[in-house]
Amino acid sequence: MSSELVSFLIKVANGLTYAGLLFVISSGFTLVFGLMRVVNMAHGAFYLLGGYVAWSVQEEGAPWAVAIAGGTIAVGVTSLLVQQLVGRVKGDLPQTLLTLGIGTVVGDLILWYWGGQPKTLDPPDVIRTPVHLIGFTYPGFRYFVLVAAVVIGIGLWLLLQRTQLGRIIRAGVDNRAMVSALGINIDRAFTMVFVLGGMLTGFAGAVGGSFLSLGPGKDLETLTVALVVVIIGGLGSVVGSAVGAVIVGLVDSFGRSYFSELAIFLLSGTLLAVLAFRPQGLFGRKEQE
Amino acid sequence: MNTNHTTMRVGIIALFVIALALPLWSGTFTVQLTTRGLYLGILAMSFILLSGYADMISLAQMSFALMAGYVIGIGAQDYGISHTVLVPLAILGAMLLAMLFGLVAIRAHKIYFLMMTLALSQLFFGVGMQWVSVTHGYPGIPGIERPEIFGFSLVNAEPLYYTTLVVTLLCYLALRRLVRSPFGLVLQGIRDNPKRMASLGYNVQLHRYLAIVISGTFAGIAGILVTYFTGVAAPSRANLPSSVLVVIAALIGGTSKLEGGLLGGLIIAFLTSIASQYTTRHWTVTGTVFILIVLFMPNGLLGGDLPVGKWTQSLRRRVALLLGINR
Repeated sequence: MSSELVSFLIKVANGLTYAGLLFVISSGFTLVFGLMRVVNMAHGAFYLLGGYVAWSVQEEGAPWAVAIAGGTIAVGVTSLLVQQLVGRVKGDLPQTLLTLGIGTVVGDLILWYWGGQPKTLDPPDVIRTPVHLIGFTYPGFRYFVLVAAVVIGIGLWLLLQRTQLGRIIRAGVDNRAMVSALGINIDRAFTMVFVLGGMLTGFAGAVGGSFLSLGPGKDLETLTVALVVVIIGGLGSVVGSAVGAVIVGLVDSFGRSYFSELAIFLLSGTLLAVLAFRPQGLFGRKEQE
Repeated sequence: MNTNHTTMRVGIIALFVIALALPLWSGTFTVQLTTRGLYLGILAMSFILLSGYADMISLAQMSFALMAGYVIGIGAQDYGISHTVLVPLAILGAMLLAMLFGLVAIRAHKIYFLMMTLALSQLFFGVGMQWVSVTHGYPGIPGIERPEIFGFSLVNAEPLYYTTLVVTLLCYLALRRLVRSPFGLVLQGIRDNPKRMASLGYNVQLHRYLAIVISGTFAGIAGILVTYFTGVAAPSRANLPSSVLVVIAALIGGTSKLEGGLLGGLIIAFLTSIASQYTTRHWTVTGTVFILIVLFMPNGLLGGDLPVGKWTQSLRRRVALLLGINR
């Protein structure tokens, strides 16, 4: 194979594997938004929390898989507590502002507890060994992230389309009051979705902390990419998140290699271009006034 | 003119006189802190113009402030342009950015608007971080010198304070005039019932767009003051935490009135300063205050959540009696 083709394929692989991480990051965010209409501004802080807890668990000598589970559960529990607070406020704007305050506090406390040094988790050798596929050798862990993203994507799709909770969530997205009137405990569904979203975010943080490093500022960076992915893909749509993640991943990978410091303009341009033609995002439904 | 307005006017003039005399009896530190409170106040008022009068929660105000800062910093340091030229250019720069952001954000409503402005401002922050050859990246442009106006150098704290005070007062009066103008009234009508205003023949989207541009311009004016005060134009200014400060200031004061922004700006300046004297975790303190405000006082200090409202009413009556103003 020619070297141009190989370097092109590597860029595609970089883009797609980064897209895998982006999907994991944004799936919890979009799930919560879809049902509750709450933009979880603490999303980035939750991501960091998941990553740091997993890092600490691994520091204690636990295997990587246990560390990942630790991060996932820690953010799940945090979400449960935060949901208790968010549930006390009425209206999506006040709820969103509340999560903004919570994100500020959690982000600051994380900085206080874990300090400002960048930290990285070590995934086990089994998934870290470089893999030789279609003409080039590539870090196995990046493929692992892509596989994990696909598994999560399919799992979420099955959950939403094939289970009772999924039916309640989908109905709740359309008409909250009606679902409630049918005798379904919508508050419990909200809590479950919020916790599930938190666990996905915690998982994303733990995996992301093995992929990239954890450090100050990562929380806002994560919130931003999650926002861009779900705005492009369409708010509340899991399929949209997947497509948005692939677009952002590829734009980022190719942008960085061809435009270097102007890559951010390419990303902004993509966002603007999508919104110019579909203000609700690629898979979003028209917002109700 | 009813009593309410007259007492408000008397109160504001009294506050202005106190503010004028502030450097006479307080130290440089307090003067600097008040300067910070004032420009935060302009930023919070620019936020309130959108949130309180047009029902649009914008998290992009600090981007406009940073844009103004970049024009001044890059213009002065890299091109040696005079500040007399740069100040209007900076306001224009902020306005152009607001026109661009507005084009995108205007298509979104309510919670979507908030997300859109956040995404736009975080992308602008990204531009500041990554476009190193122009913006100088993370450290930004340090050492921006304060100019002279009418022969007075702004290098010392007091002249800068007076300049900020005058600019703040002018911004307040201009914005107050704006919200009471036919344009402002239409904006409030749109806030309350966009469909009705549209059916009455008003161009709803155009009014919302103009509000975004005007608000961004005022944020840019504040951005000039921020730049001279700090001497730096760095991307962190457009990052979410800075925007959070503006939102908190507006919410503490109350988003139903412009005055809430001024009050909130001053409170936030002093609160963060006091908190950082006792702990390095001042963001935790600020965030906690924010959470408490959203939970227990969503309408802010001037929004009537506290008995303060009744208290000021009786005070107003007394002042009115004292001044011999009849109802």
